[in-house]
Amino acid sequence: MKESMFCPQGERQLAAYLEGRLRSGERREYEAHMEACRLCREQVELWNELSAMRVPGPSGQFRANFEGMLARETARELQRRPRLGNWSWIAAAAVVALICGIGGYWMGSRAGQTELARLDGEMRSMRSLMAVSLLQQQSAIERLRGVNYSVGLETADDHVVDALVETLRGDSSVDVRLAAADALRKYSKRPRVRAAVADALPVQDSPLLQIALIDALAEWKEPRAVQSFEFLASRPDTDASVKQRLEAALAELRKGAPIR
Amino acid sequence: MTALRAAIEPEYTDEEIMARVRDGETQLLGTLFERYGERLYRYCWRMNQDRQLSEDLVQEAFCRALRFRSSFRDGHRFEPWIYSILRNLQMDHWRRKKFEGEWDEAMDVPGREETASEALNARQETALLHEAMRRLPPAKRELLIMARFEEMPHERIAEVLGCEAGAARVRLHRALASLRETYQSLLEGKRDA
Repeated sequence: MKESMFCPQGERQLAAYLEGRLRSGERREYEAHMEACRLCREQVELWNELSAMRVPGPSGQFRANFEGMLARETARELQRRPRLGNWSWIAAAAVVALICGIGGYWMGSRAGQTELARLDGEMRSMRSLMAVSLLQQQSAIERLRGVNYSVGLETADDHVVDALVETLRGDSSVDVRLAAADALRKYSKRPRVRAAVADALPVQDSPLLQIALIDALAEWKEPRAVQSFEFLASRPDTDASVKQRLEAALAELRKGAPIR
Repeated sequence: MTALRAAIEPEYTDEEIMARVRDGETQLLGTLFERYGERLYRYCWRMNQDRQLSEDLVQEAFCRALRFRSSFRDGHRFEPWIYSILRNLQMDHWRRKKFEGEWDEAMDVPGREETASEALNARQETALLHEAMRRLPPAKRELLIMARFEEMPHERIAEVLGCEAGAARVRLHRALASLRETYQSLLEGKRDA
């Protein structure tokens, strides 16, 4: 019969003994036990022997590589940040666009087609500015209006999409974030939208929103989502139902083409 | 920037610095790298015995910490957080290499020759101990490394693993018992040879 590997007393006290956390009485008692117990004695001896294992230091590039990564990531974030002015600038631009458009329309009797096209373009631009400015309002209801307004746009320019992504990442209201997630589905053919949604997933704390994003990313078969899925799945505080959804989504994504 | 880091270092806890990184002062991640970079590297090296891989994994862990910094919550500790990111990357690496849960000869590809030649010059027992560690399943090896070399109390190990402190204590005890058994059988094999 094979000899037992475990000593029941050791299992209770060994970790505390090795950490030096036993009280003096308990420590003496355990040391007395070790005198008689070969299993415990050998484990402690082995623990001490482990200190002989040496590790070669990292290369000279270790620190420089970290600095390079930090610089690259910072630059990447700056590139992705929406280049928006403040609200008053947007409002002023909207007014100018409107005046120019209306003026052009009334004054351009001979170049009607051109003016109409220009007016149409300016109106589109104004509607985009309107959506962006609503998304930046203090009131959550206004921001929800902004999301709905952006959904009504025939096509959203980059400013609107960036503003929706920022809303999804950082809006204080879960309702607004959920609405933004839904609105972004309309632009899922744009790779940068899919990447931004994948990046936004791990920063969400609402299980409802997490599930909405997981479902969207799985539906899009977005390979960049794998990293976010794995990160969220590894966190001990992730909701059990979210973890279940993540496992299913990861299995689906891994079934496809090689992800890495 | 280094001067800023030096100035901030003694004054702030890891958690305060990470909160500032989260709120936009991303350059301060360098202070946390100074505090934890080499320690995490040593942890990885003991898992893989491969310098390049260990450096890459640590860098990727900090990259993820930066990208997902908004998920760092107030009241949480930085150390278990960064260890669990690194551990996850380590597991992913093994999963990709199909190493999950068992010893594989190919595991230490770049480091093996170097380690073996070093071992020739080292005490035989130490070389066998290295070998015994390498033969342990990764889940047991990481426990021993966290407890013995990182000097983490079992409560903190439990935070990294996402389990109860009692479970971490029992698993540590069993990992040490497995190491002892493997080590003994290697010693006996040596004597018989």
